[in-house]
Amino acid sequence: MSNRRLAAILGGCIAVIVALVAVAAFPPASGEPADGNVDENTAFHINVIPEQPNEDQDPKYSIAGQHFVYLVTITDEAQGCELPVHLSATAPGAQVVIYHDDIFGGDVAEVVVIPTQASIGTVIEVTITGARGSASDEKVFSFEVAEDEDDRQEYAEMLLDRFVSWLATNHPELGITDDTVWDGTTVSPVHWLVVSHYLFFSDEWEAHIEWHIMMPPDDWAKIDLRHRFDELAPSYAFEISSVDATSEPGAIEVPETVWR
Amino acid sequence: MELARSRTGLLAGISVLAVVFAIALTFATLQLPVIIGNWLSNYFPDIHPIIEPEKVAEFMAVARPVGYACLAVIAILIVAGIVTGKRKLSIFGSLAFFLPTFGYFFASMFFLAGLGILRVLFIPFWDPSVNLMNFGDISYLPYMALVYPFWLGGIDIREIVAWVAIGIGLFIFVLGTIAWFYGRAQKRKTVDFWIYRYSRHPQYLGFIIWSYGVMLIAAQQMVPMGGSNPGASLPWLLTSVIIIWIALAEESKMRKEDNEAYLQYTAHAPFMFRIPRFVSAVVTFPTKLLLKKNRPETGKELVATFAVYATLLVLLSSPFVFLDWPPGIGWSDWPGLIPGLPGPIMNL
Repeated sequence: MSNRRLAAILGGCIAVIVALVAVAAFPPASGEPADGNVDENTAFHINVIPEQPNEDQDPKYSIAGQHFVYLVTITDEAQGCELPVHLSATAPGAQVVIYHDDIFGGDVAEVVVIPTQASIGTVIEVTITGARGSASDEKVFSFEVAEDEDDRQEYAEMLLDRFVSWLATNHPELGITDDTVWDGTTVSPVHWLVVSHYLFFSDEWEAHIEWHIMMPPDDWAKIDLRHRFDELAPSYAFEISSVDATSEPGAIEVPETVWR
Repeated sequence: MELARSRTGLLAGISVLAVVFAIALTFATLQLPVIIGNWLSNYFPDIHPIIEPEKVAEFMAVARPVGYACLAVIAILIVAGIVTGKRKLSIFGSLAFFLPTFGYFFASMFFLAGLGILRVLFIPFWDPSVNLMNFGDISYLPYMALVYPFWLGGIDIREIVAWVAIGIGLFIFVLGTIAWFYGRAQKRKTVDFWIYRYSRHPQYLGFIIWSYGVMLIAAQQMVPMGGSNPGASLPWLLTSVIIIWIALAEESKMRKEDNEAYLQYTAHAPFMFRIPRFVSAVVTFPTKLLLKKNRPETGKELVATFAVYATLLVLLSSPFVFLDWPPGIGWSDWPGLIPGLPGPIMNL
């Protein structure tokens, strides 16, 4: 092999690697209008659900391993900014996962905070930060991690199955079928004894299941559904009036807020 | 009959010895980093990045140039070994490049605390806006192929895969070392018995498999502070390519020595391990295209082959970088935190 050929091969390899790194480091800007006049520093506010409780309100609770899900939106101070806000979050003592970390006005991101076993008995402080150009906004939230365990998953899954089978037949427009995959987490586990709650997430929907721990005919169960990533509140709700009596679900008034 | 019995007994004894060593070294692989990390934390204590950001900035002001300088020295060692043919330089450089992977084993808020200080070497890969570490993510392909089917069935084998890789790697390495020493003691020019019948480079193969397990454990470590774990796929990939390059260079030297026994041996024993002919054809295709022959022989051909394969593997890893995949906190929780996937634990 001649020196010239070796130099050409090495040069080619270096050029490929430099090009890859350059493309990765400077990706083409998305959302930039044709005239290029984008004010990337337009101020904005981030809005988070649930809000931080006041001092005179009960604090929020979770247990280790629970997925505490914050919904985050942005409000631009000026019209027409077409660049996204990049979200980041920190929560010492917990894992953080952000779904849709680049959001525009109207989008809903989810910041999921998962306390570790080591954080039991502590307060998790969650800092959610949005940044776009030189503009930024930050919100701080907290919740306590109680010593408890999730003992409601099995029953919640049974209820979800009943609702899903019915929805698949009676509301095909929702796109929920028996094959839809759901992942669940307990919610508000400490203070709610008579009415239990559980959250399930599919790719498209957040389903909040709640049920009344009571003798028939008062053993009702409800589900409300929020369309993920573009809704802040549920858009459908249904109820089984008595679980033991195997009542058929029926539509009910939709709650105004998500359950957290 | 007596001879056969004593040979069987010897093989059994060696196998038991190798298993004992493999178990002991697996334990050492997992525990030594913790012990050394605890000791090092006396000198490099943990810092809370939110409570004490000024301390982090102060530390990084010193650590950053040190990291760049160390990486430059290691790169020079590796390149010098490749160019001059002094393979020990490249081996030393590549081992040093992989060593900081153990920094992931030490849980801390500040990534350079305790044993994490080793990762000072990786700073140049973390500093740019793009995470260069992920340019080795094609390495996770075998891991994905093993883990995912079990995950669909509700079985989590992620940690098991890492531990088994470490154990198997060490077992092969120990068997190779025993055979090599035995061959040296018998003054054999070519070691072609025991495990060498199944691999021409069992020690390198053992190292590559062992380090793959270490790399997986590093990638699986949980992330403090809501950050992400970049893993150490690129160091593993480059180290493995360098090791394979060294093995090829050694073979090239042996072939030139006109060692008939060695040539006969290579006709029967596979390079690393036996793979289907189709896979072998795919793997060696770039070499055949580049050199119009099956293997590099001269120093220049070896350098060209090394460069092309390293570039190809980086190129194959680029979709992981450009698609920012896996999402969320990355490999440390893949595939558990991908929405819509079933799993043995309830995840979002």
